[in-house]
Amino acid sequence: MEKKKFRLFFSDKQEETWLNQMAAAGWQLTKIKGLLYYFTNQKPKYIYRIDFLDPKASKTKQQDYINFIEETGAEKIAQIGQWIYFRRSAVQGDFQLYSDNDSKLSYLKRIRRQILLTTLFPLPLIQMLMTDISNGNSGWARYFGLGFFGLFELFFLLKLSTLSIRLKKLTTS
Amino acid sequence: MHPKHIVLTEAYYYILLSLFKPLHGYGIMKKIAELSDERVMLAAGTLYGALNKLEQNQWIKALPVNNIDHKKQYVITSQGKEIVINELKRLEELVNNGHKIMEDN
Repeated sequence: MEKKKFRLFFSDKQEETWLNQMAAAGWQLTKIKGLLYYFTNQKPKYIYRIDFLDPKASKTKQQDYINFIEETGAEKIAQIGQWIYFRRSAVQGDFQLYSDNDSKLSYLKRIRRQILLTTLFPLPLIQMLMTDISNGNSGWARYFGLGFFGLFELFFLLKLSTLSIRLKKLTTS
Repeated sequence: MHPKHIVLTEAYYYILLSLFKPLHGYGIMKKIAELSDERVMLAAGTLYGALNKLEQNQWIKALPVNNIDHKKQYVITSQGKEIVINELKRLEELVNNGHKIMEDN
């Protein structure tokens, strides 16, 4: 039996927790298409971990990393941009990607950098829209665009703040 | 960096120890779990970063890929062995002083 669910998450941690809750309840994630998560009703339970590749690394280096993780018994279930979804059979025991603070810190910093870039990216466009509107060119499309980007920025700023809290917790432990 | 002033983390120390004989990633993880009686459980992502760093320092080196299972293996270098020798001396100093003080009290 299969089922699919639509979800939008503020953080990878939330998403990972949810995937593992689903897995514990008997639903194993098999693929992801955009914001749709596909599950299969399966008894052998998996442990899911979300990873974030280094965007600055070459494609070869990135694939090298994925191969390395897979060699330890894990399986890559999905890849969305730099986000990798790994899973490993629970029979093999606990499955973690990072076991010390330094590597966890690197992981979070990579994500933070990407969130920052994503937040900065539409700023010129937002400024253009605002200038346009203040110059009197205020068709509904411009307000709509501004509203859309406003929500976009808000979403990513929320992501940034939840991530920053996690980073702070790590660096003060 | 002068070898005598280097302090290794448990992970790095155990990785170096595991690589006196060639091993691939998963093998290293199992070896360390075995050596430390499951006290030190190195995760794959952390291990990958550590192996890269150790290779950069030339304390370990990657062997040409084994054609049978395509798994990349690593082995310790002579420089790495020197690091282990010095680390062992440092740890012995700590242990000996610990025993001495404990016995006197």
